[in-house]
Amino acid sequence: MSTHKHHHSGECKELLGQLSDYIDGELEAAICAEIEAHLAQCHDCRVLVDTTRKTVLLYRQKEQENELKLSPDITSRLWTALENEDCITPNSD
Amino acid sequence: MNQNEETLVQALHRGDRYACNDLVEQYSSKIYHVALKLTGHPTEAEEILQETFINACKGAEKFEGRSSLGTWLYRIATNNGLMRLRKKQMPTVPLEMPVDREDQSSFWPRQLEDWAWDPEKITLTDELRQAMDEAVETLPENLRAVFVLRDLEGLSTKEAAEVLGISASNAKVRLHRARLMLREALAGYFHEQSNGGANHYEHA
Repeated sequence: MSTHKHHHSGECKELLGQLSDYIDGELEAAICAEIEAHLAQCHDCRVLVDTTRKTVLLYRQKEQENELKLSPDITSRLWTALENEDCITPNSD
Repeated sequence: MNQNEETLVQALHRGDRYACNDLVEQYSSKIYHVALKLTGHPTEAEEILQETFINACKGAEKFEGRSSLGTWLYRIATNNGLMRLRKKQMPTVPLEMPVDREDQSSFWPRQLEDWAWDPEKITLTDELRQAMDEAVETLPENLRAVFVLRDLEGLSTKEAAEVLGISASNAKVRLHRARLMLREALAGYFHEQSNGGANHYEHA
């Protein structure tokens, strides 16, 4: 398996620390410009940024596929539990 | 708080049982799904769902309105989920985790191969979904909680920090570390897949 042969330069360390903020678009333009100048000449950091961004996108994509509505069984058991604990008015569903 | 929420909170404080019904209608799906992502177990998620609403409806007077109702419910559910994970002796990262962003030595990326695909053009397979779920389950609980709230539930950094009772900067560091660990896990998965020749994703 290929491993990181990076020399861990100061710029690479700095990028690693700011990676999430960079991906989330939370950094100031001047800092983004510095990062982009570093990325232009550092292959490993380019791969790191790209694969981290893809990781977040994959999870968001998977999340969008999820069924948001609760199943009737779960809902029914929740109402029963709340009725048993005298939290709600009966026959709510 | 908007006006509807304020009205609901006032009704909850009065012990109005219909208000509890409304609370369940509005938030039960979100609470179940955050519990499921946190624990990875449908049965536990359902227990957390029930316990969260029983606690919220019975202890509505404890809600002081300093956060939104949703954040308050997330906090009850997340604390419940974290307690369960701790009982299972999940690996943990100390609560007083340093927020020094230069101190990333244990999070240095090990695998730096290109993933030569476009995320917008792939269809997730069951195998990849499973690898993604397993990767989340390997996260220490307090990194997992931030990742679930922030990246999966879409809460802001400030909201996720409020739910967990930590500072926003600590939430950012935890999210960052969670993402790096997940990236590493998926890099391992993609590496094995490309070497094994299996088709881990399909182009749409």
